[in-house]
Amino acid sequence: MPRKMTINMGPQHPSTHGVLRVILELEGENVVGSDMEVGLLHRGIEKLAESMTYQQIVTLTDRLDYVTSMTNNITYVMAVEKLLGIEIPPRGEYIRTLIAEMQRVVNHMMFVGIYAMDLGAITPVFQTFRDREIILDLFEMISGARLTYSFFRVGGMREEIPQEFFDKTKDFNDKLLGMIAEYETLLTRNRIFRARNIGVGVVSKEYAINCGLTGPVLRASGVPYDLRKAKPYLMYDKMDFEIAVGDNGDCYDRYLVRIKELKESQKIIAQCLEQMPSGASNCEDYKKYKIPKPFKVPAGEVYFSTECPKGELGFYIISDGTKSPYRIKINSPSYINTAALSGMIEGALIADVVATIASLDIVLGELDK
Amino acid sequence: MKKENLKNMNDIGAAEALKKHFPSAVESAELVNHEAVVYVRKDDIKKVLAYLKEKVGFEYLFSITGVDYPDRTPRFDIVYHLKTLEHPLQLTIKVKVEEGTDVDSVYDIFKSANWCEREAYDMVGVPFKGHPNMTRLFMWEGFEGYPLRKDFPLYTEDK
Amino acid sequence: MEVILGIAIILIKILTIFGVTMFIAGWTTWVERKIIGDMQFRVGVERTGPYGLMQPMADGLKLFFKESIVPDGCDRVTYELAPVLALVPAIMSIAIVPFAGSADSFKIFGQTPFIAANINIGILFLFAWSSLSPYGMIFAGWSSNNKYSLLGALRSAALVISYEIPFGFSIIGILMIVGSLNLIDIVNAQGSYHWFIYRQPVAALVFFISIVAETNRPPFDLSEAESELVAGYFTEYAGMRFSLFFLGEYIMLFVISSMFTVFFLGGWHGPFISYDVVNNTWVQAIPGIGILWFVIKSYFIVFVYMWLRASLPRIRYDQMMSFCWKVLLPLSILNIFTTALLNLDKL
Repeated sequence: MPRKMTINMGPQHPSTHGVLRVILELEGENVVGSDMEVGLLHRGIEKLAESMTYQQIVTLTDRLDYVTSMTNNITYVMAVEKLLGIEIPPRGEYIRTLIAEMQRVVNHMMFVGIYAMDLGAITPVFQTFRDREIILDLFEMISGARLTYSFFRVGGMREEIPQEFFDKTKDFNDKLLGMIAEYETLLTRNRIFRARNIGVGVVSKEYAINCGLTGPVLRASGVPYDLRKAKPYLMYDKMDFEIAVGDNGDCYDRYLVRIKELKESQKIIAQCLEQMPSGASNCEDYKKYKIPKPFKVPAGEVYFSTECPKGELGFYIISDGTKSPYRIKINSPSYINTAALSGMIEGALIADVVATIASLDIVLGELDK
Repeated sequence: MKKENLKNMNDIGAAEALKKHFPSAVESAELVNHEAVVYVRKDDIKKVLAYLKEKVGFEYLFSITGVDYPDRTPRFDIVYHLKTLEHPLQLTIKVKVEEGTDVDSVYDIFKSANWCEREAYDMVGVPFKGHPNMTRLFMWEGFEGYPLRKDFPLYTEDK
Repeated sequence: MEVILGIAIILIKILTIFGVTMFIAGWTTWVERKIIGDMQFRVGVERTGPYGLMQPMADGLKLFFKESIVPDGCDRVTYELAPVLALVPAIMSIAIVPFAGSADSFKIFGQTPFIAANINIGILFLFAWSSLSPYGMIFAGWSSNNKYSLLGALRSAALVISYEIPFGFSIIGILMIVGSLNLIDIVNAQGSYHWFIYRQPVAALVFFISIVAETNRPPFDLSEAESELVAGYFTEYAGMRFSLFFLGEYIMLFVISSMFTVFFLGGWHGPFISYDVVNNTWVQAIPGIGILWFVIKSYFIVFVYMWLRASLPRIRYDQMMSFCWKVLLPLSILNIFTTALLNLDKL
């Protein structure tokens, strides 16, 4: 009868992506049981939001998934706009689509780098961070911040975007496929990389749906569900792109799905830049919603979600007709994906646990809220 | 209410069909803003969700929220968000719960309810009966109070 | 007089070789940071001294003055012994590194080869000491009272029995051709261009993979896998004790790379050497250049090590073990038989 050993992975551990604590029960190096403890980064964003005005909450959404603040902003402001019944002019929607896809590129670049590093390859992270920096510079140009942008506001955006931004984005986008090819040379067909990934952390289709998995993790398990196609929002119904779907639901498929999404995002960015209309980008009476004057939102409730890089991010907002929401529920992809981790690492080795956590692409700021 | 009919339905249509199928269990089905909101009797929530998953195809439960209405009896709403992956349909199913009573856990139907129910319990203090591990999720053990209740103070004086 | 002179020569040789090797080992860290930095679009160290050359010195000083924390509940004796056990095999192995043959060495005290101990069982000596180095890791992991350390130690114990066998077997082909365990004989048997790397290519491949595992370098750095086991067996070590592990690793890196040079790359022999029939030895075109050739060749291997580190992900330990047993071991045995068949006349 082998004796079991309990080992604490995290909250201080190089590869638990922040302060996730995984308690592993081991027989040798084989995981026979696991438990998770979260909440070490819990800041009570939902509670704080109840005391802030609708426009102020935009800054809180930056701090959810601090890698993809732009898409968080977009999702939140679109939820409030749906509640208010505001329509955004086409240029505004195109800009949101463009920036959401750029944010997806940033996120997936970061994923590829960090994922490779968790598997022990130290160079891809520098390649991807070098290229990610270009987009961060572009975002800094329009919003003044590298990570926490708070750029999109209810009813539009903080400032008009200069033409230089579009030109530089086009330059970047033309080079993007070359960059992706560069990451792939070190990883995709690497024998060790494949051996570490194929058949590791397998998620079956049924398990994925039953656990409510979302985003690339769901699609890697063979479920072709992408909100951009399933419930088109912004300008996605006018874009020509494909959903990346995997077959086996293992870590390798999750990696491939993200690489494919990078390439699809490249297409969408190109189309957005091409079709970008002129005109106003904010709603008609944008003045009404400008900071610092708070505005009232009619009573009711709304659930709105978009396909963020990590999966479906949803805001469930209940309004009681005042200046701040009665209740906000944030349904974040990292949270829902991490909840299913225990089932994925049963019987794996410690090295597989690291690979599986990394392949979920989680950010603890979003998980703990 | 059948799987094949979902194709031609919208959210509120599905909600009304559900009410037709469960005339006693479903208290109301109405459109609030853009959401199809269905109020279900507390004791029947498991039955309704199991039916929605197995017979209709609402197989994807992705969010459970606790909402506190301190001036109302029953005091709490537990909100379930369900959707189908084949069609763009989504249902908001609500249950009214009085303080001190519990709701049936749906963990054995939807695995995703595991953390969602723990979070709802952690935040508003509605326990779920039959959940294998009904402990706090985000707050630490021994934490007093439920943060997302309306009477929980936002700021406290430093002791 | 003869005896005193002999002892003096030996002492000078030991001190010189020891000093030079320690120096090289220390500055190998600088080389590594620069090379990997270059591969990763970074500058690498550049603040301390010109081109950051004084960085190893600064690191050493810092580690020297740092508090050596002893974790609670550790096994004190083994804990203190472990870094020493990790360093000693590395230093002992320096003794048999043949930097240059007798013809290239100083001719002040007669002709002595530039090697601290020219023993006839050189290869066995190397294997004996290098097999001892995992004990340092196992002791460290076991005594630290830390589960991550323990796992790292177990991994290194599991690995050592996997790679040591192909490691030893890969050399047997060379032994059969040369007929001697003496490293100088092995180098001389290769002459100017009959390097074993193309007379024994399979052995060279197996040997190279084994020495990467032997030195715990990526992609086989399983026992100190930082993303899985934090730092593996030396998680709990700090200060000077940690630096002993570190130093041992880098000395071993150089020693093992020089062994690859000896076995497969013709040792100190450069191009354009001629055979001196009178003294029965090879002579370099320029006297004394042998050491330079040796260091260049060894450092090329060190460079390949760093190249691997910059490009490859870490292999999983069960995959590593099955690779050693199922691929490397059969290959090395096959190599022995093939060599035997091709060299029937010499047996």
